[in-house]
Amino acid sequence: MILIFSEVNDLSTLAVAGYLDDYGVPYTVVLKTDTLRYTDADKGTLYIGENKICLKDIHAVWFRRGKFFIRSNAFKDRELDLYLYENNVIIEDYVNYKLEQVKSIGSAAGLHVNKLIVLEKAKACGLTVPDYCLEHDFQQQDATYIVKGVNGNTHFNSDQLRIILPVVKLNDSHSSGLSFFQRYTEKKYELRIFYLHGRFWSMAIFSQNDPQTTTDFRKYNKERPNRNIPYTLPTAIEAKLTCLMESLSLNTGSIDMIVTPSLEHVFLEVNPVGQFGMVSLPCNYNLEKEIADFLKS
Amino acid sequence: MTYFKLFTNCIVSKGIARSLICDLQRQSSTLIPNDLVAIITELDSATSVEDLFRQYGAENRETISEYLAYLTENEYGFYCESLEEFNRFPPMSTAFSGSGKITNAVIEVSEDMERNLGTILEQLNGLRCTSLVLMFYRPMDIDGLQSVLERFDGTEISSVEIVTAYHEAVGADFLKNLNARLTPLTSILFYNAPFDRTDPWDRNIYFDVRFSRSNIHSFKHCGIVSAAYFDTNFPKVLEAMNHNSCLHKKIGIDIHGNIKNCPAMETSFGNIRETKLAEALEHPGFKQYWGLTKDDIAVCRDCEYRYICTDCRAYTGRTHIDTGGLDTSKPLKCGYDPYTNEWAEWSVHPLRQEAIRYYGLEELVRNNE
Amino acid sequence: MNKAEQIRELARLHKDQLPLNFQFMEIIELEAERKKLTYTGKSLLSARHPFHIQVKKPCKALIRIL
Repeated sequence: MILIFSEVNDLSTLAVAGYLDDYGVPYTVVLKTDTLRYTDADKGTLYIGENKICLKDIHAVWFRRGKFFIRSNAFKDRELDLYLYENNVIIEDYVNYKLEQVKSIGSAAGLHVNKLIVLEKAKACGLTVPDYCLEHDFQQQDATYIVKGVNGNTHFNSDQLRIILPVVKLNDSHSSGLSFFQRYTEKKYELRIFYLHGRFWSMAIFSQNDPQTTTDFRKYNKERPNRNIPYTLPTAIEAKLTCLMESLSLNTGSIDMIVTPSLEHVFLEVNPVGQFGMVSLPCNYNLEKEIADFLKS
Repeated sequence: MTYFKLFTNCIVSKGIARSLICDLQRQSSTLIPNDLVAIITELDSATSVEDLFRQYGAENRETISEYLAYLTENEYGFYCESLEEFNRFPPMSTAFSGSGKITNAVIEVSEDMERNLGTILEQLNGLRCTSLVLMFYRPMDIDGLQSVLERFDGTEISSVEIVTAYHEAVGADFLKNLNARLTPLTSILFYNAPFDRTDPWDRNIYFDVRFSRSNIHSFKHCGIVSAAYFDTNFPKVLEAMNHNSCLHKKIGIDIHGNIKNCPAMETSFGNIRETKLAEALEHPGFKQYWGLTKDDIAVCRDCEYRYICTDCRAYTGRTHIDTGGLDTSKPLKCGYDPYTNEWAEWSVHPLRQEAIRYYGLEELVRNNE
Repeated sequence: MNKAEQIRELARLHKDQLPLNFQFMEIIELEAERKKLTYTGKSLLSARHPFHIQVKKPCKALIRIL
């Protein structure tokens, strides 16, 4: 049995499930809306709604989106619910720990990474990262700097509104709350890299031709989309990225890099639950099948 | 040294007289002269731009510069500063992949079959067929169509296209009623209509609606090859490069319930009354044409459009048979000549009259005139 | 004051607490975003999977009769 934590509208999960169906390998998809329970019966039993699965029958786990959790706000009382929550967290951590003992993609712990720690570790692994600093006041520099959210989110929703926090190139001095300033790196192309258990699939994104997407390619130009084609990383860069992923205890992730006009590889960030469909489809890598094969074996 | 790389998601399809760049990412194809293909091939084999100019000599300098400017301006390629950079861009795999034993099905729905459609759909869903065409050679009222579409509830079929006869009640209310419920309906064609018109789906009606004056009374109408049916996209082109572009992962059920690769083909692999679709699929002959690509077909193999066009094995020119007994003749209903790059009406060609008689298409051809 | 203006006002008031990129924020109405989607809004439930099935036309013409 393969256990998959995911969401109803995740097309990548659906594509992987298609291959598992072809192979005739049983799998169960757990959604965030499911009600989960755990008991020690039969050396560990999971209940997903009415469905019962023994831990010993699970041979692979894919933490695509989410992890084992117990929903509880039984008392509608802050203190009582807090007590219950603290109690449940112990159970959740234990079950997730057990689930991570088998072959897995992603992990319960690795759903989020700290950008500042990632950058420090990237430097320690020998990767080039753009100069950056956390400051309140920004003084006009000789070099161009950009400001972006330290959590990596470019937008969030509030009620019926979407608040977009663009990546901005700075020309003046500014004062603000503590902000993440990063030296602007000229790019020949961007790289989006999918990493899975020591293997790399890379895509080059040619965005420089298009002024609309120069700082952040996620601002799509639908008329003339950026060119996305397969790319091979130099082995020295792969070794440094492997070092980073291992030091972060990540077995999978989506990595962003820049290749500068002088062909230097610059590391930007890693997302442990990044979309791989956006690398797989344009490059015809068929990562959905790679994942299904990994989970099946 | 400077090198030039064609973006690897642009595939050059070389024809005998001219060629095509199939831009899989931007979903469009453009004709190019074969001289340019020779230059692209040279550059792709890691010849530097400087060496290329040297090879072609001063008299071709201007032409090559124009070609390179054409490729960069249209974003078909880019310059690399070194061989090392050039080699970091591997060719894109042209493998075709995708799960499911069947991806598409065409069913001629008799009145008998309409009653048992549920069990057929259940089988198709089990084979993980996602796209379906239902041919009704009769007018269907709103209740009939709705009860057909209700049977898709809970399946993973993501597209149903319906062909049915036009009748008086078909109008705005009819379509609105059909749209009232969420179904996988993506297009409906009313033939025998008093007018020709296509209304693409919009925010009010979630499927394409097409009216045609043609009278579609059998599947003999299928198999047309024309530029209107050309498609440039990843799955379409990659499938055509590796498999038969029409018959791969297709299943057909004809009006008598015979299970075939396509309803217009001759060989039946059982009848739905006694044979399961999965059993028919296991028959050694069922998939015989699945691996036959346009590169194996006479004339088509010389055609620049071969990967964006969709083949037909039901109606062919009946001129070529390969050693395995497969029909490798050009589709009968294609009027394109890749040697002259001209389109002509296929049905008047003197060499096709025998095939037209063989398939019993005389009446259909007459009506089209 | 509408909601978007309120957010802008708060961001101005608490300028010294918020990261600098809040000074460049853009606010859009989600309803307007959703209206741009039409076909993709049509998703069906599968009986076998918990997934939504997106309705979409096949990538090639399955029949060619006209």
